[in-house]
Amino acid sequence: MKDISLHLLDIIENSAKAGAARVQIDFERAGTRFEMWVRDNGPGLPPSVSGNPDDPFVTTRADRKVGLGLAMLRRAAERTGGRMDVDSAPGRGVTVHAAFDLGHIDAQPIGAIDEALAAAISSWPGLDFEVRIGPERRVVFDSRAVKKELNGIDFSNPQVHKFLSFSLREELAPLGLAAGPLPDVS
Amino acid sequence: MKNLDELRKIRDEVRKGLELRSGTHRAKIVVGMGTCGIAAGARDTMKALMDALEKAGVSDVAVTATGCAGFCEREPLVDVEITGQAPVRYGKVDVAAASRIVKEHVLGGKKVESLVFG
Repeated sequence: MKDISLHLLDIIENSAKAGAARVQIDFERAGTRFEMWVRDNGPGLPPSVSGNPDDPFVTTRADRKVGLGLAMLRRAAERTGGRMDVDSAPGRGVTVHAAFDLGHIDAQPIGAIDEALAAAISSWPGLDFEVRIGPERRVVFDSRAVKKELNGIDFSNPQVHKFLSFSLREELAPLGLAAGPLPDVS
Repeated sequence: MKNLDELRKIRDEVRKGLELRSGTHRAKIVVGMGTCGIAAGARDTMKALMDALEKAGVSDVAVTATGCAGFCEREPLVDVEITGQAPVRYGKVDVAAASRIVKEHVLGGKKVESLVFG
């Protein structure tokens, strides 16, 4: 993965694939420290995996017995002096937490968190998303509120996707988590 | 969050577009969004597909995602499913290829042969 936002998208895919209904994503940034939490309400990791969830050769995949996502996230976090933890139990969902020192010479760029989230929301329209920022966990996005207004129109619609991108960019840009300037709304 | 009035406007426009086609989608585009797809650039591919459709004012095409299809070396994979036609799979779809697929295949009705997976 070329930046942290792509790791995030990949971790969300795990939740979607596991059949979670809801995912809560938190970001904190202070100085060069950056932390994120991805918490889902899926079935949790089965005991066969939960002992070493980021061992690439321990996976729930049926088609091929290799899974790289968490292993790559751990590497990316630890090489900045940070860490990654996975907390899970059957029936309790999974929480993935990753902490980075962005000032470290080996740190990947954060990338476009806004675009990663917009892609995730459109990719898995059945999954509810709540995005919160800061130690006070201020809610900046709640897909259920948007879904209610949309009244049957899907998140995989191009016009809706543009709206999602713009909303997320507006909220995440002040924290330096969005790519580039605000998009053209003409 | 961005203005909810804006969202309602989008909803009404999209609904109008769909009503013109009696509620059915013209096409569905599916992007490979597994670990391999994401590492190969699937997020930017999806964004390019969305942007091209949005700019063309198309509201009856859905862009969604699937996991790893087992052809990791050919990611990002994109399936174009036009209603009433056999699905077409494209491989190594970068941003430029994504715009071409929207323009020539989804809107123009002609497969982009050079990008077809196989």
